[in-house]
Amino acid sequence: MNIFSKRRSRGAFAVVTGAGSGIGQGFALELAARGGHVVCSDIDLASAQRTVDVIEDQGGQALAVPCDVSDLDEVQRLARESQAWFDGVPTLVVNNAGVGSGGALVGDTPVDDWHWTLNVNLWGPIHGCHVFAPILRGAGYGGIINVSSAASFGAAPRMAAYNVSKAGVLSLSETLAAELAGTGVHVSVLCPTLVKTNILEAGRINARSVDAGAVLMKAVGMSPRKVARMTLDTHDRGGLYVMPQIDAKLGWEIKRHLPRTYTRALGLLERFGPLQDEPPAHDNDGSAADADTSARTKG
Amino acid sequence: MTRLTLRPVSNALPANAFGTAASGQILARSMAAFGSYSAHTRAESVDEQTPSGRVRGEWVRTRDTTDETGVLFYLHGSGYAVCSTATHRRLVSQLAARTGLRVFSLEYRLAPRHRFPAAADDVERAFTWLLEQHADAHRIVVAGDSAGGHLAFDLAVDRARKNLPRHAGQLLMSPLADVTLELARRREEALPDPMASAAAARRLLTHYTRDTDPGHDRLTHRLRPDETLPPTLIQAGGAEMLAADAHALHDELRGTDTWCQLEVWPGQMHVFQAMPRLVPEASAALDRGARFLREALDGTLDHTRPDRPRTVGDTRRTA
Repeated sequence: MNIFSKRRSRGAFAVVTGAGSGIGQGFALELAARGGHVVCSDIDLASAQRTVDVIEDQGGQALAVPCDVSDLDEVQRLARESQAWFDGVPTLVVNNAGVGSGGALVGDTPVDDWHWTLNVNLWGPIHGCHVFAPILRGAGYGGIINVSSAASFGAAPRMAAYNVSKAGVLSLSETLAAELAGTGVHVSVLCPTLVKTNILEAGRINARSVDAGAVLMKAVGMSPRKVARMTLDTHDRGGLYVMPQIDAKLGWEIKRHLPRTYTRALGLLERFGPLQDEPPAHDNDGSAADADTSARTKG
Repeated sequence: MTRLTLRPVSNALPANAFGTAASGQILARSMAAFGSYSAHTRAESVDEQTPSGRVRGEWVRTRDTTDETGVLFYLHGSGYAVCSTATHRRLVSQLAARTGLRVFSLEYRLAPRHRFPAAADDVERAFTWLLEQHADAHRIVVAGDSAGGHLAFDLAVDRARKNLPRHAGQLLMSPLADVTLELARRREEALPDPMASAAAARRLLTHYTRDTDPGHDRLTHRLRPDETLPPTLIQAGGAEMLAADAHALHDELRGTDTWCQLEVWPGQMHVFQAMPRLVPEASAALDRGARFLREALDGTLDHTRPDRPRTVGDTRRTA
């Protein structure tokens, strides 16, 4: 690795959270294909190991580490184990691990779901930045990529917990980018719309929304690998916001210039949209029991 | 290349007799085009009635067949529904020449006409016949590709469970391990197979498994730590979805005292060994496979080798 190189994605010493599936897996594979050493962490070690197998089968270098990003101790352990394996500091950290949740209105969404979503989606990246930003700043070189979502500014109804968590990640990334400006550490934040992942099945989302999302995802969803490729290219060019999909850019522009119209239109869509389950509300409670194992990649 | 040509076709073919025949034809033609015979290959067909039923197949010898005391028992790949000893004769002749062994290539019964466990029964019967007529277990090595690898593994497990003498070794090329193709489907999410989708492969396999529970102990093999199989070399292509199955079998074997080694060839596809005219790695992989079989038969395997999966060939990254 050339320390003066601006192409941080090449030959990186990378840590990817939620690398067992979806966008995280896409990042892990792409970073390995670009000659990097990749620590693949996931709450589900077996799925992280599957990603490592795929990378090693192509002649790449990877290590599987279990990590629940909502637990600061585990993220600190991830940092220790990564540095031991790299025999040095990481040069790229991808805070990707996240879960899907949604389907109910504010007030109907169980508070437990709020906590669950924010613990993984918001506290995960916070822990990641808290632990890794000082390390990278100390080294004076590297990159941090946080995976947010177009939901962070899209503010779609029935997804409050998810939207809030992702807006937090967006704000965190912007703040961090300002703080790290000029230090040699570059920050990018990815805001995708639909990506072909298991976020719908693995999250806490009502059945109607899962069905509708699955149809859309199949029709217009981008492949995780392509999202990862485009994000890394943007990161290498020094971009802060990464919006690989046209619908995200469109939503972003409309919301900026016509915020009132945008919000009222979304409200209309919610009233007459297809996402309400019959009977509405509280359908999440039953499925919540074992969903904790599913803190994976988001879309 | 294959991704653009074969995959769309194999995925579009219907799961009926026509679709099966068509994919069988495509496979046979490409194996004929890109496979090659070793010099002076002779195939002598066998059709014998034994007390427990019929044994069909062929003996394959080449100019280099010098060792008549040992036997290589070959199980061709099929998805349990297509191909035959004829389609795999080129591949078999390459192994025959490289090992110096005569090969008995089995013509086992295929789905949809013959469902589970017809093929597995044929394998067991043929192996018994080989033991009675041709060689002791320690003079037999087994090789198989794809579904043939699944059958070979099943034979080894079955004999271990019945406490029958172990054969000398087995070479599994891109073996199938999970008949539900669930492992392959997960692998496909990370890296699509250039030849076919997991869903298409699953459709083909259901002709054989039908209503049988995929967890049946002759379809899904879970080894106890005290079950030791013959020394095993597994080869798989890095680009194929069944690489996941190869890893799964390797993990299963590592839980026992079995000598085992997994080789993954980066960028290679399913049973690339059958196409030495298309991919240069095929010859190298056949060399390594044959050397393993020879060493297993001669009892000269290196027991100090690490059993971690290893990536062979160049480290060209094609992910």
